[in-house]
Amino acid sequence: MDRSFLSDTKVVEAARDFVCIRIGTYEDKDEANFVKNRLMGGNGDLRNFGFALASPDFETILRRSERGPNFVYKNASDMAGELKRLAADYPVDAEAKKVPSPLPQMKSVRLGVNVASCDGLPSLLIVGSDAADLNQMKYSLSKVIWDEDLAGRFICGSTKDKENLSMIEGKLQRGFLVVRPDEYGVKGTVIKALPGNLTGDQLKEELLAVSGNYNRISKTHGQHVRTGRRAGISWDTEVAVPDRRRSTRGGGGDQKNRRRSE
Amino acid sequence: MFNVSYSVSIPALIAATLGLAALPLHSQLGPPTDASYGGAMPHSEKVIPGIAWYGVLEEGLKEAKRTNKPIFFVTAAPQCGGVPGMW
Repeated sequence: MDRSFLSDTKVVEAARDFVCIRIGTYEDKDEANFVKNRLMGGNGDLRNFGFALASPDFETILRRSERGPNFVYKNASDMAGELKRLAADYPVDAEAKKVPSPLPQMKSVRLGVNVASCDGLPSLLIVGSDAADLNQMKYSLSKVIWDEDLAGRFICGSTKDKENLSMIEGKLQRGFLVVRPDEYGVKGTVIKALPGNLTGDQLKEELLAVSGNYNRISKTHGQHVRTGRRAGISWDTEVAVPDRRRSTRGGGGDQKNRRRSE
Repeated sequence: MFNVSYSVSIPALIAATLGLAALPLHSQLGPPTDASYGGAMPHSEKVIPGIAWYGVLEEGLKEAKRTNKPIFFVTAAPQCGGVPGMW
């Protein structure tokens, strides 16, 4: 995919009128079945990448592609224009606006740290003592995380089980942990630990400061894969990744329990 | 004029056809070859605001129904060649 489309300020702005969902393709069996059934007509292997615009109930597919947006639109402005046109057909529910949108988070700490590494962003983990404690902190965070200057700066995750933090080094405490993922997203280090009882303003100020000081590290695709393989780094997926060399569209190629992608 | 254009374009046409034939159907763009800071902000050394993604399908669908906002959906593998840390 042409990632630059998704970083274009016009596209980012237009996307605010959508609910943006990005799932890991082979990371959840139910989600994989959803993609197969809704976007692929129930046939064929899951593709590494997919893109769609859909109605709020996902019953109507407004735009669909198995390639990046750059195969669909001439440029980012073209894409932003379509997003705006489509969003105009779906006025936001007035009552819904009164309640903050829930926290956009990843399925697990493990996946969140990996995705943060992929995105070159810090991971923001909410650690609670139980479900109620966790929900209270998630609600506090949801009131500020959608602010225009903070949106999209963190990859969020949450847990109430310390064992889910075994890949994280540093001060593991209840509250908000800002984590720097390692190069491969398989480990992380706490770079800021914030208490769970901060006010919204305090939380926002702290998060803006830590993300403002965060140095992103550039990676080169081929080198990343080569050095990762040499170091024995691998990633287990919940759903088998199809072997692209044998699979055909609708033909259901060999499904091997290995982690190959395009 | 027509002949000149015709004679020049044939090799290019053949090359283009062969090139397209070599691509698998539904192929994607190849992986980027230049250095990237990652994700949807490949060129920014600093963290900047961007799209905030729901990473759990069920939670995103629920929010779309609640608000009546349309859905911007992406599925992507957070690993490349079995190596995590890169889309």
